[in-house]
Amino acid sequence: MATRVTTGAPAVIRATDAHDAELIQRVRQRDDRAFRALFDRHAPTAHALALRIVRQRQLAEDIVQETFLALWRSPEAYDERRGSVRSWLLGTLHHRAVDVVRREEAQRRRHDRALAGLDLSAPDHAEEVVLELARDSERRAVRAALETLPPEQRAVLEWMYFDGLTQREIAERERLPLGTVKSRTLLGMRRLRAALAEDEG
Amino acid sequence: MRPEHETIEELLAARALGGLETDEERELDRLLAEHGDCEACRRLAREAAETAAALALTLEPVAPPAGIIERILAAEPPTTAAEPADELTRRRAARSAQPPRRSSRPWWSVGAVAAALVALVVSLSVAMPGTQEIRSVNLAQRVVRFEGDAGVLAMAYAPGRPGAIFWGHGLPDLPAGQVLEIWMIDDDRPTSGGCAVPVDGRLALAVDASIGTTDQMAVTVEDASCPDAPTSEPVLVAPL
Repeated sequence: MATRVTTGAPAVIRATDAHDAELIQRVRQRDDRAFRALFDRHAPTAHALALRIVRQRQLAEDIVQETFLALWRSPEAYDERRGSVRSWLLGTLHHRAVDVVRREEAQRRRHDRALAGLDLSAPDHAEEVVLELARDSERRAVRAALETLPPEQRAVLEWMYFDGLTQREIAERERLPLGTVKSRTLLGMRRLRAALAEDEG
Repeated sequence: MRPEHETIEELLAARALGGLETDEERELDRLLAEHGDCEACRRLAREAAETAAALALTLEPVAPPAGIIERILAAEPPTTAAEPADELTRRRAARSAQPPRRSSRPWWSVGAVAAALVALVVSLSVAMPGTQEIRSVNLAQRVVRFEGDAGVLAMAYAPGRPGAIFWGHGLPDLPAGQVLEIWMIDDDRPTSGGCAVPVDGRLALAVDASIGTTDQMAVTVEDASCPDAPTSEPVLVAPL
């Protein structure tokens, strides 16, 4: 099946963009209520992503705090021409988290110690779990879009994004030609973007 | 799109997922620089960023502890550190805003030392002879203590903000014509953070370089020219 190439941001991202843009304008004017609104909106996903990557609760919290502290102190660093507030925040956090993982050789630790003692589905305090009901449909849509990818493409995207592996490391670990990993990355990203856009339609 | 846009798209997709090696990052930067003001490149970058971010949405959200938002909002606004004395600082490092890059061959082994990274819960008051008073370190700042046999040196900085303050004691008395040079190591690349001469073994120094993406800090003994690259092994180091 040919991948439909689309342009523009997926619908699931667009849904919150307008309000985020308004909020970040207010944050630039030091409006703490706007910052709280952005935090409430994006911190749970950011925290989940940090936990998924670093697998250490305190470290994940530090990364979330640093990411949002940077936003609070330098909201002008966000450039709307480069994408949505959410993709910027999550991208920033992702860079921090992956960097931490690589610096601390956490890949080895995670495989050895995995999630021992850390059950992400049952955090310490029930109140820490925020089920964003309004976002459930969005989450389901993204998961459905991801399911449309061939397993080998999906795996490559997840190994990179969630496990902090580079394409070369994946090629070595999976004993695949590097070119194969690269093509799976590109095709997987194109197909995911197309599936997300299709959901919009 | 120009033919090389496919290459750029491929690299941007991998970068958005965190899957590039250092040399590939540089290749992408080079290609983007060659393209200059390129709307197609910006669109490809936006699409890659948005699509990668969508992966995070597949995770069940986990609310962070309530204290985080309060700590952020309680953080003091940026303060202007007093300019260090001219004789203390020779260079200021201009730090890149590029995402962190992986280190494959450190300048020296990070694992050889251990660092104490402490988030301060209380304010500190430190005054050093012959320098400005360092008034306080707030909740959002961190203090890193250097490790090594050349005295005690600590650095306070706020992640994500430019500027760092160093203070130390018990530092070596240097022969005439030698200085201590502070290095920020990012992706194996040392960048000078400034040079200083301890007075009676003591030192206080403020620099305006950003520590944001630095892998580790180090101090070497250098000649008074304050060279651009280290010429000796570090006497103090602090992985971040």
